[in-house]
Parts: sequence; C-alpha cells; structure tokens
Amino acid sequence: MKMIKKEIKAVHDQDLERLLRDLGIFNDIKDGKKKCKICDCIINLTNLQALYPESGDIKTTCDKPECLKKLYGYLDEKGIN
Amino acid sequence: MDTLITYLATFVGGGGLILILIFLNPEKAEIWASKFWKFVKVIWKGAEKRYIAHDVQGHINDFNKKLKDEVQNYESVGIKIKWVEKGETESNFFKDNSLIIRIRKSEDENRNFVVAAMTFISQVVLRKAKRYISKTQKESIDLYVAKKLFEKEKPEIIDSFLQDFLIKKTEGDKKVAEYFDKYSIIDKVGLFFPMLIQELNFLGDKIFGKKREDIIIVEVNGLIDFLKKYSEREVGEEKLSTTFNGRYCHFGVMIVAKSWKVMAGDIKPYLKYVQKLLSVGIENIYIIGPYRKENLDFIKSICTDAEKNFGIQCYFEKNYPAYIMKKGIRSKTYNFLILLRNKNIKFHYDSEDQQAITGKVA
Repeated sequence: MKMIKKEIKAVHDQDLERLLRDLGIFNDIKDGKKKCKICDCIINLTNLQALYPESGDIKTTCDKPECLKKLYGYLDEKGIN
Repeated sequence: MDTLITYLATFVGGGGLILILIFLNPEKAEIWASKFWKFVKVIWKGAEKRYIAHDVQGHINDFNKKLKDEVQNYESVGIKIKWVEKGETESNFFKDNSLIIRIRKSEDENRNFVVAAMTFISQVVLRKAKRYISKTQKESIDLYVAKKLFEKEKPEIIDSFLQDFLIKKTEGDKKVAEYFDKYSIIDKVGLFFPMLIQELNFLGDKIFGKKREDIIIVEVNGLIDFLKKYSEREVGEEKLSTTFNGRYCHFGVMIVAKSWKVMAGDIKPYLKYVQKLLSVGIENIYIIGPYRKENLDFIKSICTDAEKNFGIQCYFEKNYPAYIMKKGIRSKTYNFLILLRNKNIKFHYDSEDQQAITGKVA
C-alpha cells in the first residue's frame, strides 16, 4: 500500500542566499540583526537552521540541537507544521 | 514470496523484476537511488539535492514502514523533502504556514539526517496523542523514537545523536531522563512499540477536541509505570496486576506460557478470564506467550473462540524478541503477541462524556 507522505520544506545551502534575499532578510542576517527565536543568540549564515513565518515577520532559529527541539514544541503549540 | 518472485522473474525478465521489487519496496528503492546519486554527484553538482532527498526519505520511510509492522494502529505517514525552488514567491514558501529547514552540503550528511529525522518524528509520530500529553512526555518519546530510528537506519549517527541531543537534553531535564530510562526498560521486554505506542495511539483517537490537562498526563504516567513494572517482572511472578483500567486506557495482559496448561489444551479458563476482563471495561487484551508452535496454536484457538463469542476482534499479531527477567538477569527469548480488541470502544466526544469519566464539568 502506498504510504501517505508529509512534505517537509527544505532549502539547500546552494539556494540559501537566494532564498534569504528573496525574503528580504539576507542583509539583516549579514548585519547580525536576526536572533534565534529560542535562545536569542545572533543568527549568521553558518548557524542558521530553520525559518518560519510568524506575525508578519520571518523568524529564525540557530542550529543548537536543544533550540531545534524546543522549536518543534513551540511550533506544535502554534499550529505551524 | 521468494517463489513468487522466481516465477515472476521467469515471466517478466530481469528488468520487469526490478520494477516489481521497486513497486514492492519503494523505500528500499529510494535508498538504492541515493547510492546512485551519491556517485553521480561527484561528477555533476546537480545531483547533490537528489542524493540528499533520496537518502533522507528512503531511510526515514523505511523506518516508518517497520514501525507500521510493529504497531497496527500506527498511521504510517512518510516524509517527502520539498526543496524551495528558484522563482517561488515568499507567499508560496510559507503558504501552508510551514517551517523551512536548512539542509547543508552533503559533507554534513549526518547532521542533515538528524535534523530531518527530528522534524519528521516531532511532526508525525503520535501526532494526535501529543496534543494531550505533557511536554516532557512528548519530548522523551520523540528522543526515544529517534534513538531507535538511528539504531535501525543510520547506526553511524548514534554517537553524535547521543552527544548533541540526548545527553544534553537528559542532563538538563531530569524528567525527560526518567522517562527515557523507563522506555528503555519497557523496550527490553519488547513492549515499547506494541503496547505503549499502540495505547497512546488509541488514546489520541478516542478523545476529541479536548485540551491537554493533568488528568490525561497523570493517566499516561500511570500507563508508563504499569508497563515498566510489568517489564521488570520476574518469570513466574503472579502478584503483579495484569490490568490497567484508567479513565481512558483500558487494557490487560494475559500470559499463556505454562506448558502443562497448553498441553492439556483446555482453553475454557482463558476464555473465562477474557470474559471477566471485558465485563470490567477492558478494551484491549494483549495475549503473550513463548513463540512455539504448540503455544501459537493454543493462543490462536483462544482468540478464535473469543472472537466468535464475545464481540471482540483479533486486532493484531506479531512475534518479537524479548529480554525477560529470570532471577534478576535478563535472558533473550522469542515471544508471540495477539491483541484482542473490543469492538465497542468508548469514545469521549463532548463535555458530557468527559464529565461522566472525570466527575467534573469539562
């Protein structure tokens, strides 16, 4: 039987800069203006791990495993897939 | 199955056989495809994303299929990596209000796999039940399922998973560490997936529109403790309670292992016991016994008779390796399990139903 699949959106490193430019947050990240939603550390092109929309803004999280884990719990509460 | 494949190979030839195998094992086919693209990406950069997607999807979906084999009521939802493509607009990126994860170059493939696997587990495994259980129950189950996924699909990742995720999380959260330890003990005796996950799935299916609240969290704690105690049970120990009859979860365990009883072939005492459990509201009866032919036949005849007479169904059966406790030492054995499930399950649709079981207005 065919398995139902859940789509997980992903951006590969080779498309990351373009995506961030399209979203208008590339310069913010370069200038250190974006912070991790969970631990509040400054996001840069090396530690950026995930992006999602919230209240008209694009939120970012860093690549610390505990931040990623907390993010899933947070998104679940908010109904973001 | 092997004979069937041989016949098919004769009729359709090698190419046809490959197509049939792909059709029967799409997850394995993805893993094979990833190996092909891994080779191609050395000479063509464009193959990089295909390699990563097939590798992640193949392994996670393969695990998902194995999970479905172990847990009958598991809603088998796999993963599909959807790359953000050139030319997509911002509204399109986030049209489903969704998260975008970053996938690094394939040199970082272990890290990529951990991120994708954790995303998959947190969003898919026990989706319904997770609405009602506590944050630490949820996190600990995700971590335990992740450990099992990596053990089965990518053993080379286990070390970095332990260092980066598990140790940090369990050191920082005593409660998560305690749950993780309990799951590990339950799993040793082969009950983590067939009973705990199954009962949590049943729980998620029978409560509608209710918010997370203490009564459910406490019940899940009781369920975990019951299974842990049961998993630590010495062979022959008969004082332990064999039923868990909570507000939402109602199940019992029946062991059929005494060879003299099996040899005597009298199923009546067992049927009487099944009837007794049903009369006190037990919905699921897990019948367990050593995986031996005479035992299997005996257990199956109990189930057939119970199905015929008590309005229950033989919901699921499987054999599995278990490490049971004999004089304080765990020893490996092979067990067989059949789940008998009552056809009249009590669902909790509204506040009146809730009031009836909790004794207070919901």
